[in-house]
Amino acid sequence: MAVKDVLVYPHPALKKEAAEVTEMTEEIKNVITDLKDTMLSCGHSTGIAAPQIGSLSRIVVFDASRNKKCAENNGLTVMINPEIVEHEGMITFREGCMSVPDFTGNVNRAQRVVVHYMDEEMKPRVLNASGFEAVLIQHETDHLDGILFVDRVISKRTDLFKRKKYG
Amino acid sequence: MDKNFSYALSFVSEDSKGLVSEAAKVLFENGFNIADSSSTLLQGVFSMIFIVTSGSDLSEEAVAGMFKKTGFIPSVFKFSGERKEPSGPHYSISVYGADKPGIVHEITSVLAENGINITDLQTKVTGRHASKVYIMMIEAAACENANEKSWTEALQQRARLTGTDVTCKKIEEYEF
Repeated sequence: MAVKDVLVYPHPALKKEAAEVTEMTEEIKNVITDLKDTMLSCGHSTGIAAPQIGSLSRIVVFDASRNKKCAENNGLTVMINPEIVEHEGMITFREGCMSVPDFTGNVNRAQRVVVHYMDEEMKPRVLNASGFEAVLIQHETDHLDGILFVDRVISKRTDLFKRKKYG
Repeated sequence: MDKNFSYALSFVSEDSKGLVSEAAKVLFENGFNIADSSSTLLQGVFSMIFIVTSGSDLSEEAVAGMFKKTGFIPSVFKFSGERKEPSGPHYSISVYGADKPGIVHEITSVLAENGINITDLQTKVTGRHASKVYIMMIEAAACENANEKSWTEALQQRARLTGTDVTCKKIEEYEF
């Protein structure tokens, strides 16, 4: 289909909750193709969510293999209505986002996640991910709830020194 | 594009409510844009640093004078405003050990000797009793051609001499 412009904050679509996909329509097929095309056109991009191209539908596309340092991954994946059903561990990553350019921040994410979702044939699937790919999935699925990484940035000082009282 | 002039303003004051708001009001009313800032409470002393820009070419004294009515006068540094962000790999370095004089000096000396540029440094003494622990968190940028093994080993060696523990992690940064 087409490479779309990636919306940049403060575009209002980035702060809205996306709607569940109930059936595979031509429109949804087009959104998925646009997401793939747009992600691939951005040389360094490993993932994208539908709201980033202006479609308020619960779809994310990612490919952790595009990060050379991510050895174990599930390759190019399309997730419709993804839901993180299990998570464990914690990993701090300095994140940036194509929709919030020129800014990075430390974000705590789960180290491992289990995700339930529908594939492109609307069949239910389960995916396990860890490390970089787990962070990538959490970053992209946050977009479906209007959450940007900036909403999750932690203050280094507060993080280290938050305990004020002992005993 | 109109020329902009950059000023760094630093305030140190006993803590009270409304300091940031009062300083920001003066800046707003005098047509400054806040480009960057860092403010924190240190042992009851509130410190604020603002990097501000203005279309007006003002003297440092004139900028400081705008705060006369507030009761806290900043120290003002006028500068060119060209951004010089370090480009090499960034590291997070944590240092901790029994509190004693000279930890900051010893550790940061190794970084300076190896051309490592500190971009953020925070320290704290923790613990209630005699066994106080000193904690220091550093973020630093190395040169593109810095030998990581060499400078991190030098850092570990100095840490052993000062009785501290050091962990050095390369910061992974990724735009999703």
